[in-house]
Amino acid sequence: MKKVSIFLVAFSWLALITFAWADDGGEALFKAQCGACHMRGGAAAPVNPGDKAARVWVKYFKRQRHPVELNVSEGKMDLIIEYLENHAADSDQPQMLAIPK
Amino acid sequence: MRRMLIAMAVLLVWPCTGFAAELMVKVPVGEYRETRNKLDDLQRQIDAMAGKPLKPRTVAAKTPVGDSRETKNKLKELQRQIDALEGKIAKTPAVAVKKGEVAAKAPVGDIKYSDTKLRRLNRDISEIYDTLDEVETAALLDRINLGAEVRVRMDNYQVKNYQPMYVDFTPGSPTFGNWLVGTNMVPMYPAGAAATPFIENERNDSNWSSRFRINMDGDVSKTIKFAARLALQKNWADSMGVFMSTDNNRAHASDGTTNLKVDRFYIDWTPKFFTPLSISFGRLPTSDGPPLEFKEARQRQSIYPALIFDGEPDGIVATAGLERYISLKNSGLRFFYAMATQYDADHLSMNYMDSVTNDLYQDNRVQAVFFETELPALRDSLLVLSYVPAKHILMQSPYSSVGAAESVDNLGDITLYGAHLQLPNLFGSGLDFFASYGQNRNKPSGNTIDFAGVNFGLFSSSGNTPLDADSATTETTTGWAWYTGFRYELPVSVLNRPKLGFEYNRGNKYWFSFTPGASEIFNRLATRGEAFDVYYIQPFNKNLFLRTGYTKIVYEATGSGMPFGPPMEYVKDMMMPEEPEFHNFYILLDSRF
Repeated sequence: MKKVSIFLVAFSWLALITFAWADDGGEALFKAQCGACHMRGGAAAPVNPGDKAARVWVKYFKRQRHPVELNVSEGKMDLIIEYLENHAADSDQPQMLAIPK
Repeated sequence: MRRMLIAMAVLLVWPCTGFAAELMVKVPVGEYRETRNKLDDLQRQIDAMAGKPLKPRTVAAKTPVGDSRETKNKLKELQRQIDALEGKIAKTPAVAVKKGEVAAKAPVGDIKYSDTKLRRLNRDISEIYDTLDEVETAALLDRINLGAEVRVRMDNYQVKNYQPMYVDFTPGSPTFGNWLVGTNMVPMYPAGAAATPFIENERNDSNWSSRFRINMDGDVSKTIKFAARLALQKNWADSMGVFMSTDNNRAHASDGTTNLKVDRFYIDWTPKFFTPLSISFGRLPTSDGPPLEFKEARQRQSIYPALIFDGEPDGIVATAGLERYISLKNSGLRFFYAMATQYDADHLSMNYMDSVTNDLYQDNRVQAVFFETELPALRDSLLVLSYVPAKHILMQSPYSSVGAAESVDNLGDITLYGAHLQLPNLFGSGLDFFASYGQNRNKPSGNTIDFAGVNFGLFSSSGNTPLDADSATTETTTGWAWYTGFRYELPVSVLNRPKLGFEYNRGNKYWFSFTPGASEIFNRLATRGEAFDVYYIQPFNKNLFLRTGYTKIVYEATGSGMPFGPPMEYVKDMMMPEEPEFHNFYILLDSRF
């Protein structure tokens, strides 16, 4: 019981600290910034990180191939690109028999 | 008839005209005017030489008057130049471009340069199309994508109060021993194993092993996906004796060979149906399940929670998507039919557990139902409820000759229930949390198998040994285990956001689940006792990380991971003065791409 208590205290302590560090992350930015246009029925076709390989995503933005000028700060853009890289077509993918929708 | 022909001709000419218009050469305005000016100049020169009056707006010609022969030659020369210019214009590539674009970019006053540029552009575009065709063809022929994983691991472990159980299958002189004190079982132990020493406190300070995997996947069609994995696990430095490395509950035990084994191969078919449904079959992705992906720093690798089912059975899964019906994201119901353990009587082999070549386990059918969903407002969370009935646990007496059908007995039923919850990146904090609970209801049938004179049933026994005291051969028992922990991503970008994790699991004396797929050097989740695990993951980049950690296991009852024989509590039953312990410090390097 003592060990369990220690675990719970440690967990709570970490949780409190981590909430202070919390940020939106690349995924939230991607959904908010890119998803504004790239959605079904939106101004642009839907886009997924898995549409391109990680290196292709980096080159895509480095060469400014996006047809519309993006109004996103450099820091946020870095987070979005990092998210795209981490979930790109050649990234680690789950193997768990996807659930059909 | 004539009218019809005319009408047909008109109909043909009409679209052809339009088509021709698309193919018309569109020369930039600047270049066109320049060319016209040059032609006008030439014309004026020709007119002057021909003695014709100059046009009013042009400057007076200063053409010298020569003899008619010289004039004719000049005319011919000019005519050639005019023809050449007209030819160039005619040969200008049929690239339909917007006037503004080219006019703005084309250098004025150099028609040869523009001409060359257009021709080069046309050639480049043709080459790009040719290359694209080749690439597209090659991509379509590459039906399987390949990936690889390489891992090198060093374990430094210590064993206390430990003595392995053993069964010697030597024909004519089978022996069995150490059930009363043994922590894990060592089937096919070499003859003379009865002399296995009791280990009070011993250490193996460098057990090195490697793991190599080849991952394959491919989209066969829009509705069919394929995946497979080949794996090699090799010990390359383990001079110490048996101990934990002979834990026969491990499907992924390393050996000294470099043989590749097929871990998994399956087809995932999602037909167009009136309701969301997919059928998966093959050797299924059912090992290294949630939450082990936290520790492995990767994506989810299995459909089932590791505490309930962690193995590599061949089988069939039907998955019904429920999201459209119950409005829970990623919700679904899985129906699972597989053999938790397998036996091939025709070839006298059992290929399920790599390290086990005995014939104890026969075909043990599992028909399970799993419900899983993402919880509302908790992004990427996972809740899995499990019901895994394993009916008719068939086992064969090791005392009998291999393959003797008459010795196979149905020991009873085991029904597993489980609930697993995991919350990755809780509220964007970088904290991953999980908790898992499992319970197994054991119903012995009363049948037993013969272990060299001792008759073992499902979690029970009957015979002429001290084990008779627990010989409740038909009494239902209940085992349970819980497993919890967290992983925290340290927000230190300079160190590539390393991760710190802690796990704890505890099982009672009757705990059993199908977890032989453990990729550690022991079957930690089968522990009848408690286990602590703390680890640190240092990513170097997205393809390479280092993990180091410490694991401690304290066994409170015998026979972890075994469904037969009565579990004995060490201290309570006074079979051992102290509980066996296992301590392990390890470090590994892992790269995958």
